[in-house]
Amino acid sequence: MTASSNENHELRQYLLGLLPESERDVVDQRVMTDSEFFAELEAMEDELVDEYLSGQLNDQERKQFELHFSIGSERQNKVRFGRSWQSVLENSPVEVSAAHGRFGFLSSFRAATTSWRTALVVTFSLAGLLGLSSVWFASRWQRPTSTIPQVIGVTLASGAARSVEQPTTRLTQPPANATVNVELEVQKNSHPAYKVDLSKEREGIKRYDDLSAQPKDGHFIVNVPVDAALLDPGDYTFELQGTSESSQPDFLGTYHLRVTR
Amino acid sequence: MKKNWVLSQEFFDALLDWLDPDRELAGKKYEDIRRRLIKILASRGCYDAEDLADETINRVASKAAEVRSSYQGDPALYFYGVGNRVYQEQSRKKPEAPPPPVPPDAATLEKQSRCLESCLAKLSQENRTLVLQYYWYEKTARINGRKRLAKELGIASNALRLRAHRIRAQLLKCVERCLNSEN
Repeated sequence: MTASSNENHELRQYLLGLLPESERDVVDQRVMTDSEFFAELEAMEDELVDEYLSGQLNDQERKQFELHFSIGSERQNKVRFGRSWQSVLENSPVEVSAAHGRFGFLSSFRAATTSWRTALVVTFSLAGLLGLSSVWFASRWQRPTSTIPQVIGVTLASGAARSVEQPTTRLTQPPANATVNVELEVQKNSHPAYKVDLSKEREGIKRYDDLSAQPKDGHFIVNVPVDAALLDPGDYTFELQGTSESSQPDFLGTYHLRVTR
Repeated sequence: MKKNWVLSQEFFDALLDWLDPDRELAGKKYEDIRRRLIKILASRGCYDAEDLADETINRVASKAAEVRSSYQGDPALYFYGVGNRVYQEQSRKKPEAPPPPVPPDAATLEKQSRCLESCLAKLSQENRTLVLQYYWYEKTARINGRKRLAKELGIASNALRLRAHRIRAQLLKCVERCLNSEN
């Protein structure tokens, strides 16, 4: 454990009332006199709130959070704010999964504000009566519903995107101030690092180095954070290579994305 | 001294003089010390941490004129010592259990979401993108995602963490102001 993670552990214990009194006094005095330490403490409060709201605290921590941490008005405000904040984060992504051949219009629906939701429900009902196809819905509701810059998630499966069975993944052109997290699916985490070349219609746009693979839903994904300003309408290719210090890069796959108006 | 004793202007001025000869800086130091006291008392499980911090400040203020000539060191630690005594007195009283938090109704939640959207829109584009990216990552991808973000920004992971927290704190304050203005 590094010094920093030791300190983080100590701060968590302190905030949850689990630190022995002698150690608590030392932390108290740093809180009073060390501005950076105080900022660390406040950041840790936010992290505890987020972990509580997303069910990541263990039983003892959760109990202490409820009985000890969240009883004051300032922290109750933080918890209320945390709920709204998580809602904003949950609703920001518009998931598009090529692996399952579906558009994530339900995510977009969740992203809408309440007044929009009402409007959407009515529109969905009317459209259903008119017998419009689900494909129309998908493309229709892919459009952003908020002026807030979004973080948009797109999951791509290797190669298959251009096959007959699996149509090219489409993404309605995102707002220029958004970030599109393009998740490239890989079956195994075979390399310590990855790099991705993004090109549009065979013209290189940007290289992403030092990426890593993360487990997700039984496989792995390599996340490529793409500035949406780069994504004008057109066909894009993500070429994924595995890298290591000792050998040449291994070509691992090509992923396709079509950005539409 | 009785609780709810009101801080007189004379005592308050003496307190600020002790903290700093520059009145503006003294005011900032006063606010800073109060925030820290609240944090410490809240971390000890005091649900009335703000009241106890104010009681601490009142006691220090009443002695400030005489203490400043003899006390050496960071005044914040003097406040801390007095705060400890206030806490111990309070603990002996075995205060009643705090009232359970009232769950917000749907209208309040909607209002809060509206305020948050409006506050996010007021951030600079750089800060908006940073705070959304920083907190967006799922648990499994969080550590590496944040490392990568820090690398892209050319700052250390911990500096990124504190920066994201500061933007979030700014948002929280903005939302509170927005809610108060709507009420």
